[in-house]
Amino acid sequence: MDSKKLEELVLACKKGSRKARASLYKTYAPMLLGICLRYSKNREEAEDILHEAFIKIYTKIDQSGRGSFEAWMKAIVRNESLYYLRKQASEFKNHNRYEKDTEGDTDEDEDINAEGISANVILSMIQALPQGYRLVFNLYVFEEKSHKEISNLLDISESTSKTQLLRGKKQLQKHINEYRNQMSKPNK
Amino acid sequence: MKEFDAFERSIKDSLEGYSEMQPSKKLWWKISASMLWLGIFKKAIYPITGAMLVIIVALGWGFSEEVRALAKSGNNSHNQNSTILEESVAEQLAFKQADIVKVDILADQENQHRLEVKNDNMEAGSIDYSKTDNTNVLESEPVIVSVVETNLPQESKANNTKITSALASNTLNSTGSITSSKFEIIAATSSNELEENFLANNQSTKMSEIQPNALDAHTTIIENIDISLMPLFGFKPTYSLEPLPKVQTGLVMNYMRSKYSKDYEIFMGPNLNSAVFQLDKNNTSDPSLNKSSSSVSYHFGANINLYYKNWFVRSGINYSQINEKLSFENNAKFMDSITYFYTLYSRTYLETILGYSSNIIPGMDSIPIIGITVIENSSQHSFVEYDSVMKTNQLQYRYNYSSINIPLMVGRKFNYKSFVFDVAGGVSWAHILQNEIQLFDQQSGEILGSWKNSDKINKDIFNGVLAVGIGFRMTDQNTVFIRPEFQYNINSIFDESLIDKHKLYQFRFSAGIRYNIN
Repeated sequence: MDSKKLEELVLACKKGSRKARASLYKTYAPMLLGICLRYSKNREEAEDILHEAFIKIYTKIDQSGRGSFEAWMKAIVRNESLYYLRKQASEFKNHNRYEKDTEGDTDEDEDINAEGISANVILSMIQALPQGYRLVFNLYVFEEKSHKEISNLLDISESTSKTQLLRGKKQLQKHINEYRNQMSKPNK
Repeated sequence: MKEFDAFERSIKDSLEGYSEMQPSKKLWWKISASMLWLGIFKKAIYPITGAMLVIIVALGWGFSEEVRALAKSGNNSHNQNSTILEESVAEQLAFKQADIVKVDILADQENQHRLEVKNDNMEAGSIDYSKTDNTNVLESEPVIVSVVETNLPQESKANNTKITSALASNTLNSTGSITSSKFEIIAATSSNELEENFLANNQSTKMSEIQPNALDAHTTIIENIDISLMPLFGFKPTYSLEPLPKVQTGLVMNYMRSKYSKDYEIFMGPNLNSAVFQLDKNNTSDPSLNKSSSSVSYHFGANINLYYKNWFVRSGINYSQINEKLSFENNAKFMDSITYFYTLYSRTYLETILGYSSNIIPGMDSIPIIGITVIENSSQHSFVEYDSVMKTNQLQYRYNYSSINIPLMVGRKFNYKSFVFDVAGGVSWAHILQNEIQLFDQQSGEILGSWKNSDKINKDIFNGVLAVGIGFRMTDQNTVFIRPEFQYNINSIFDESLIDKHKLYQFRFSAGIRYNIN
């Protein structure tokens, strides 16, 4: 969608046009759902987050400002995801969201990467990560936050953030390895 | 720019711009429903708040007016006295602004009346009215009672009001007993400033007039009148102080009872429904598909009206059954590839549901049996007239539903002889109990779908309601009435995913009987 059309759409949304809202939804919901899916553990949870995010987008659209509207929406979705996960904070704590290191860290396998694996598979691997790993991994890799920023956002120490990221990566690499092994089996 | 290692980069790249995933259809319904609720709440909150404020102010105003009127009228069922202070007494009296002045009228069983004027120290002075029971006094003849100045303390004498004279007149019955007394207290001052004022104006100030009508000589009555002068930064009050007398609780309760009442009504009648519906313009290029329909249905129910004087709040419950048929013409264009002429078909479908198949397979939709009448017209046109391929939405809708409605209205009634007119406005909440929808393909006449209790119809619909009633009082307790009522949907009946807008305008005509409890 070009910027002029988007501008008109946003203006119509600000005026409360249902058509414009529907159009905005149709245009951006898939992309925003992708973000929600990264943060959540399943589609249902992701849609719950997206529901709340869109309500916020429509009601706060007057505050969208002059910057990139898309970036503004993404920020809302990210914040809504964090808020949603924070709501489950007690649950996280009970399950020791940011697990203590109980085993020594091993070096990462530098050769492992996600090339050639479909986005859907990668997404499901991220969703399969424990919540703490997933959260830190998302913020670090996709939102490009520093460990300091993550520690402030999640109210954890920087070292915890680093550990969680490392563990998340290791687990992802493990999943990718397993996936590649499975995929290569029938060919052998 | 943040630096990522190879693994992080590969993951990031693989999900960059990931947007293939389409949200489920339910999500948009949920979002649009939430927005609808928010919209209704936003729209309704200010009018409701405003209306509540108006009602509260109106009720408060009406009540205080009545209490004042009651106090002034000297309603005597409980030996009510009334007190009037006239013409900025507070301004003209020399009481200190912070003083609280008390005027006490005391009557004991020996018919000896004593009036006391007190400041905040409760010791300003007193007047002995022992002579007011003089049986030689002619009816209405004033008795001048001297002020007992010696009772005033020194401080009060210096700068406070003195009671210079007082008048008392009694109304006697045939046996010579006092049936009512009237006291008139003339106040002046010893302070120079006020003396000058009084002398210059050549007037005295009537401080208080007390009319204990039908005073029972054998009953002890104590009336306290408080005058508070507020020391607002030297502000000299110029208003007339009108102290509120003590009103006995029992009297207030009787008064309240007489102003509050309620009645019950039962009613029934026909509805004339007119619906406008509009297909989503995103899905069709033919604006002529925005159509309307009309139908006749019925309703019955019961209400309760709670009155405060002529104002009332109405609520209750009623049942409504609506059968609506939405039949509309649809045009379709077919290009003949050989002649390059195209035919414009115009078809009108009139379908009737004859019933539902009795063999219903569990988990499957019920199968309706329908009768269809198709009126088809066609005309040929040259391809030059064929400007674009028209994508038409060929659905036809028919639905029946029943609902329970709960109105909440505020109104006012007007009485004229035996007739009662009322006007009321408000909202009603309609909860859909059951519904049926059929979707038809206009071209083939095929039924595309048929549902009972479909989730494509919103379960809860809010309406704006405006009603005008005319009643005739047959007895004190029974009133027959007729009431035309206009009701319109605030939110759409169908889910937005099916029809962009479908709102019903309902003209109800109710006839019923009202039973007054009080």
